[in-house]
Amino acid sequence: MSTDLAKLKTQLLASMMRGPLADRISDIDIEADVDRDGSEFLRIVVKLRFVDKDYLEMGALLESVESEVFDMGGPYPSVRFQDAA
Amino acid sequence: MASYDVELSRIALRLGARPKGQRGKLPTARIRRSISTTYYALFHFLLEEIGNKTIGSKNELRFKRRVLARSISHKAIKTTMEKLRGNQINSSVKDFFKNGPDMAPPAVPKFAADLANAFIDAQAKRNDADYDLNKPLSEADAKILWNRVKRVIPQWRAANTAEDRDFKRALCLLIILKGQLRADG
Repeated sequence: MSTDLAKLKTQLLASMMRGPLADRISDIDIEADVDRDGSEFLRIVVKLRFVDKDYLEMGALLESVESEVFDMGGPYPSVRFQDAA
Repeated sequence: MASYDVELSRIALRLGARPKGQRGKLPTARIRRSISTTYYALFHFLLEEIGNKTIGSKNELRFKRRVLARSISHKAIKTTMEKLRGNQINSSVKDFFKNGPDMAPPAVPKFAADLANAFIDAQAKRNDADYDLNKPLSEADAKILWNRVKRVIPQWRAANTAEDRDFKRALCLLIILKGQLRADG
């Protein structure tokens, strides 16, 4: 996996912290994996401080992360949201 | 009667719905079945589209459409959809979308790009939902995926210019070809 995960994490977090959901994001985890077809992908888990069921905003964030990873030339990302503890 | 993808979408919504007054986390099985069923709603929508666009939509052709659908794999659709990532058609298949040797291939229309991204997202989550309980999936993931699929299907249906129809037909044929114009190597 050629993608520099630490660099990607820093860049994605910086973008998220400029976005409308900045107040509820605490961290992200990025895990490189291979899917059942043998394609590389990134499992990106967004950790939230709280969930207020603003699923449209969260969906928009998910799609912006997909675009950003694509622009960086990375493998396709699968973005998820972890429930607040 | 609702189409099969619509029935699946309704079931996925019910699985992810929270009964009035219920607090706490939804059961894991409901979240995962909702995600998996949402994926299958999109998968079956595409199977129907491929049949309609390549065999024909008349009722008497239903049997043939279903025979064709049986031969289309999840991997073939994903391989094809990956070739629409970004706004450019992957160079390995771009000729298939051109209308002449001297013409430029069209940009990927938004309705197709959005559906492609939704499919790739749904398939990755469905694989974890069905096969890997160690991988995290939340109620929010189920709701966001359902909303996404619910948005991209009508967007695809509403795209009906001559160029849109050409693009859809080419994409459906490319899926039948497993996302490749010729064997690699």
